[in-house]
Amino acid sequence: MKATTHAEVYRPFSGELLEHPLRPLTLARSGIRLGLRKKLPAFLLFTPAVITALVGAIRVYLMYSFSDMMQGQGGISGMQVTTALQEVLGDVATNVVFFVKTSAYFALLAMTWFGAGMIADDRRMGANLLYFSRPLTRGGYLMGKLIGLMFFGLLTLGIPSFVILSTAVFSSPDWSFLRHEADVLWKTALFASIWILTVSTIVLALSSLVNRKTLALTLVFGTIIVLAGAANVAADSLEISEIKLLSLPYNFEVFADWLFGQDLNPEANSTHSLIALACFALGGMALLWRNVRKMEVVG
Amino acid sequence: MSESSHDPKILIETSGLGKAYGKVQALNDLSISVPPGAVGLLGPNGAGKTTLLKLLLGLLIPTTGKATIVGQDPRTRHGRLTIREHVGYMPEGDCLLPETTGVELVSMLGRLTGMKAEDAMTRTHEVLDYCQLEEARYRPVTGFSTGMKQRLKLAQALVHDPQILLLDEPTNGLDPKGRRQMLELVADLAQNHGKNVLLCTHLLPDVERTCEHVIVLQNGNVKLADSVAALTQADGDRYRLSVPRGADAFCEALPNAGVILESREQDRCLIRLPGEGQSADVLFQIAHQSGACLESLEPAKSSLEDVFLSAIQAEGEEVSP
Repeated sequence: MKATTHAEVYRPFSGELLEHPLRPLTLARSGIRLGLRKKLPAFLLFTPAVITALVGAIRVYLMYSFSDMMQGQGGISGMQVTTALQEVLGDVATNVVFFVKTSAYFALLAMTWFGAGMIADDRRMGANLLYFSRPLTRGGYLMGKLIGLMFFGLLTLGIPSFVILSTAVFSSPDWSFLRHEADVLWKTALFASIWILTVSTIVLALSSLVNRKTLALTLVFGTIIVLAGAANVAADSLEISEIKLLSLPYNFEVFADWLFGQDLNPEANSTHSLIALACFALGGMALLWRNVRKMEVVG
Repeated sequence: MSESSHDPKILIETSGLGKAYGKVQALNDLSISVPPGAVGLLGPNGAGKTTLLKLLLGLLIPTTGKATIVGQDPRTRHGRLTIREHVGYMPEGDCLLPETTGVELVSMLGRLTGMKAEDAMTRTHEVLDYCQLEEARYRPVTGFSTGMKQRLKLAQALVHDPQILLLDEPTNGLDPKGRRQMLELVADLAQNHGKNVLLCTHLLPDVERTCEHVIVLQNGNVKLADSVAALTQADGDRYRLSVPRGADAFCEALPNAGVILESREQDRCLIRLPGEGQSADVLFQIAHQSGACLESLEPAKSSLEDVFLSAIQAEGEEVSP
């Protein structure tokens, strides 16, 4: 019902338009809000990342606590227990890297879910007509979508990494982690940034190819998971290890091993993997740019 | 406002504008000047109306020719961005993101245009009120009726108070009540709030109710472009008569005086005088001589529908062998 006293009148806008508004942030915020609207997927996707962060943080905390306690007891038995514990659990840095790498896979799942529909849904609904009838450049649109998706990467990879690293920093005796293993901090930040940026680019590029979220999800899983599996099988059966370069997770594993100085895979060539990662990211960016251009202006 | 100077009497101008989709020529050498005010872009489906709007916004690149809107060329990046600041576009399709609410969508698009957050929110509530979406503003657009979606699309086009509104089939899919509401809003914006409206439609009554000028497109060509008043002005030599008594004798006497009886429905006749500028006094003489009673006599006007149909039929005659 409409109140009889209420009359709708058109009021002219008396304000001014900003010279340099942060349009990508507006678009990113809208994308994040839409992504978080459905609570169940968000709960299911963030829970593993939270658990990983908690388990990682508790483990790191316990390692320092046990080590501290045993060394406090002194004597040969204390030293032996500490050494045995280190043999079983590994050192703190190795544990931090393990949990960061584990979080990265949960981040992949979350970013795929939240990112698959970001451009595909715009295409399906024709929402690009609404966006691009505003003074929004295609670069602004691209940035907005990237920032939105990277936020989900930050939630599922950046924050767990931050929690684990903070625990290591604050629970280490005499700030030993900060004094002796500070490089783990920036290396983790670098690894997480490259992971988030590369995965965001690839997910959005694949999302821009189709106009349904389900198709985009299929495409992302096909490109990342199925391709990784197929590349591993092909590389093992044909005994050509270079085929594994088609696998994004493999390249990230090699990159992480190289970055953190853990030579777990002697066959791997870190330079090749870095080039492969760069190709994934640049290829995704080129595809994304081409498709967004077509969404803004049709030739 | 735009940096480049342009004739304030011409809002939109195209010169030899053409657009082809592969072998299909959507617009063909279009040269028009759109004056300020409410202008109807009328034509059957596939006439090239939506293509013209997208070309004006820079959403399509023309194959030939150029267009200017508020003095800016949409082919250049700067021109496109300037145009989009000054234009509100209501697309034809159902382009609303389903998970958003009316308030979120309109305020977000306001901010994308460059409004401050608080301005965008205030303005969003104002335009949603104006478009009669008060109660529905916090509901997801998925639950909106077609009429509400159309009004929401109008609201988003209005949020930054643009000087030009490009409305693509705003009454599409609306029931009579919704259509009336939408046309009232469009007419109010054009007549009372100084908005320049380019109303793109295939429905003639929509243009008749809201627009001062009309451009008729067919197969990518302009068939007609003039003010509604000029198109429907009275023909100098045609009259409508009411002859309640002695109509038969009156009609029989008309040819003797050289007057052509175009149509007759009982006591109402449509006649054409034999010569241009001839006085209608001859009709009173015929009535007097035939003993008929002439009750009313008024100059006959063409309806916009007559004009539209004759323009479209003229095209048909050109096309047919």
